[in-house]
Amino acid sequence: MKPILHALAGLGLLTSVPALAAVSEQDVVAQYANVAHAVFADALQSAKTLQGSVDTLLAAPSDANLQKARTAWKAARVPYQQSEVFRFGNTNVDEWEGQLNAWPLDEGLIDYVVTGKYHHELGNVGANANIIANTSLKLGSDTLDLANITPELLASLNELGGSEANVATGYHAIEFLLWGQDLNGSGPGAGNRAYTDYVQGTGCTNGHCDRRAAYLKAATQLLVSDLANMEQQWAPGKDNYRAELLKAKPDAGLVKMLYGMGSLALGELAGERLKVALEANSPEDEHDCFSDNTHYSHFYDALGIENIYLGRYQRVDGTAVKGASLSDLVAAKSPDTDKAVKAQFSKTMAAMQKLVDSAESTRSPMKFDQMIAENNPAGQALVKDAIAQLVVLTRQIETAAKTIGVDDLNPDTADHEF
Amino acid sequence: MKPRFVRKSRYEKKNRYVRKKMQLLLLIVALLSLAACNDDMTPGQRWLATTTEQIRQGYQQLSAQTRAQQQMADAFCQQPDAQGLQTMQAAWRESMASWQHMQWLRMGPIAQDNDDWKLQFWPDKKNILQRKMQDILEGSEPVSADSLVHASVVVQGFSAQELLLFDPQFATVEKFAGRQCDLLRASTTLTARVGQKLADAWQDETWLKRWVAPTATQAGLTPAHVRNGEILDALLAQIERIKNDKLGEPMGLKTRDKKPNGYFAESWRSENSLANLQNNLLAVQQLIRPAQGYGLFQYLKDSQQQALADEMVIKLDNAQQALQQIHPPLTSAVTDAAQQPALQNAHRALGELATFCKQKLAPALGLTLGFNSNDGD
Repeated sequence: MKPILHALAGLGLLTSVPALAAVSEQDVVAQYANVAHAVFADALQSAKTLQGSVDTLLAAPSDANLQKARTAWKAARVPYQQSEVFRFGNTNVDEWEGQLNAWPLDEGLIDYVVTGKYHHELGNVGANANIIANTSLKLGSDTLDLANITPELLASLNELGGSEANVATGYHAIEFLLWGQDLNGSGPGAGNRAYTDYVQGTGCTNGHCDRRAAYLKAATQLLVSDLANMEQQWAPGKDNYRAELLKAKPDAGLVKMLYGMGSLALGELAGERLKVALEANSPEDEHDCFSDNTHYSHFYDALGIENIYLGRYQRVDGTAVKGASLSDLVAAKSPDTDKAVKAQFSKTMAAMQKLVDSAESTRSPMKFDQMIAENNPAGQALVKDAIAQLVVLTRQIETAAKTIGVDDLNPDTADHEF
Repeated sequence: MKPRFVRKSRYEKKNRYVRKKMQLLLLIVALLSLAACNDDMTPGQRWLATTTEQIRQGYQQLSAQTRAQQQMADAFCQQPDAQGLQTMQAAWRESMASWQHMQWLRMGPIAQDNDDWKLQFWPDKKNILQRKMQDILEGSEPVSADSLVHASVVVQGFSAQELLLFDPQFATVEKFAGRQCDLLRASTTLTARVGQKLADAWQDETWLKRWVAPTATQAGLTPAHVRNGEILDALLAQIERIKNDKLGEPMGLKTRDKKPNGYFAESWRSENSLANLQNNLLAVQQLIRPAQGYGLFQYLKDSQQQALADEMVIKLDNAQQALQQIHPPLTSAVTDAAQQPALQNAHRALGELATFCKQKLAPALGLTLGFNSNDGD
């Protein structure tokens, strides 16, 4: 496509048809890297803001400061969730992300839980380790020294004892430390941890407030440094992952883009995050189960997918990052296909918006964990529609891929390339 | 991996009139269960006709076994005793076998109302099943099939029955005295209903017409080619599921320090995991080389792809043999050092079978791969 369009442009045949502006595959992959950099830079910046709020909370525990930290956590999720589309296809992001966004987690690993309201993974030896309450942990013949809570220690405790549910770090560990267990099942209400869990000395609730504060501080610190590393991987003008990506053949980059979009849309978002929770009627399988912020996490995941197709991203400060897009490439080959894909993105985002509207309604809010309740057909219908739209969207992404000559979206192949 | 077609098989090239005629013929053939041979059909149509007949028979079998299980549950609950419990356990294994035989097919009627999850909810790492079953047993509302059908799919199917019949916390004669028997009867009734519904759906002429003549996703492809591609895609997805989820998960291969966990095996409570796997592969084998009719093996041979046909059979046979070398049950084999070579070998053989399907078989058949629900975490 590229040479033909260039040739036509050279002859002046395209000058009156701006819709067919000759973007190259290379331009599109470069814009993908630009979007990635902006998204990760925003994620870093908003994590730093969260870190500031956490420091304030720990220095002066109060309900107001706890609420501020929670608000900062929610704001930090906005850019981060839009980064999830970069996971699949970019091995370096996928290997890195577990430390930041692994879920579901067995929170008894981290802190106190209410027995009878806590359900952990079968066979998880670390499910009740309670790192905050214990300065050492005996696992089989090994004894782990937990006395000094540092970012490094927490990172080393992920997947403790071989269980993926042992998540010691990242957004969801911090979420648990800010909200606590959601004890309401499919009823209204999120986690309700009191700020007094962070009061030092007299007034400390649930014990070990010093270690809880140290844990929250270390986990936030690790989040910031992890995001800083990833932001650097996508920064221009450096010897980094971005440079490697742009050096490789552009079609390898297109495969990563399309594979990331489809895998997130179908297997991860529609499947793991929506369908499992819905069909099992299981709030345990809710993504942001402590804060009840799940609707936004899903919304911004989907928006992240759309960002890649349109080659755009709206930064937290409102500025737009716009450039050559997959949409341009598809439109140049088949305007009808591009139109259909865009229309399906609109439908998908509208379905996601309905989840948000329901959860954020001031009159009668219905959060995600209420939508999936056994006796809530209206709520279930919202989730079902979101799944259905994502499934159709995935097929449209496949069609878009074929239109621009990407036939093989096989993940094994994607892994083997460059 | 959703295969999509990039080019048309030369065996599918028929003019429109003939193609239409063939579709009708194929439908008639399917309806009359005469899939064995018909000289007027293309190889692709013959392959599809045989597969269709196998699916119909598979669902008939599922329906019969689940009906038998339900009847046994009714009889058992008249007067629960130790022998009756054993009979129930055997009936569950038979029903489960008939389901495992059909588990690969995730499209068509079974996908319309999420019936596959109603038949079996798995994986269930957090043991949602036990919690939800406990809630029902401790509740006061009467338990019947008509009430259970509105509950979570988790408590409706084979996994729920397995918990009641095999988990030491539940599977004692005394426990079946009251509500637990109501729950067993309700659950086996729902499973039998789904079995019946699927068997009926595959007798339905309107559906069969749609099945043999799907709307092609790309211009120029014959309906049989489209459908055969989907069938192959479903088989590949099942092979990957066996390798990654049914074997790889309990072996601990998905975690950083590769620690095995027998609870992640399918059917760990009944220790039926390896029987499930053998049944899954037997189903693949029978689809490839049916005792009667025209399978993929023959299709490849007739497409001058004898070497590929032979390789496919060898790869499948290797995987089946390798699984047989694992000493049951899988739940304890994964933590037994002596069993590690056999486990690794089976995992590798399944991987080679999947890779063969993706890298050799799919391209040779003119298929390309896209997304399926296995992609993601």
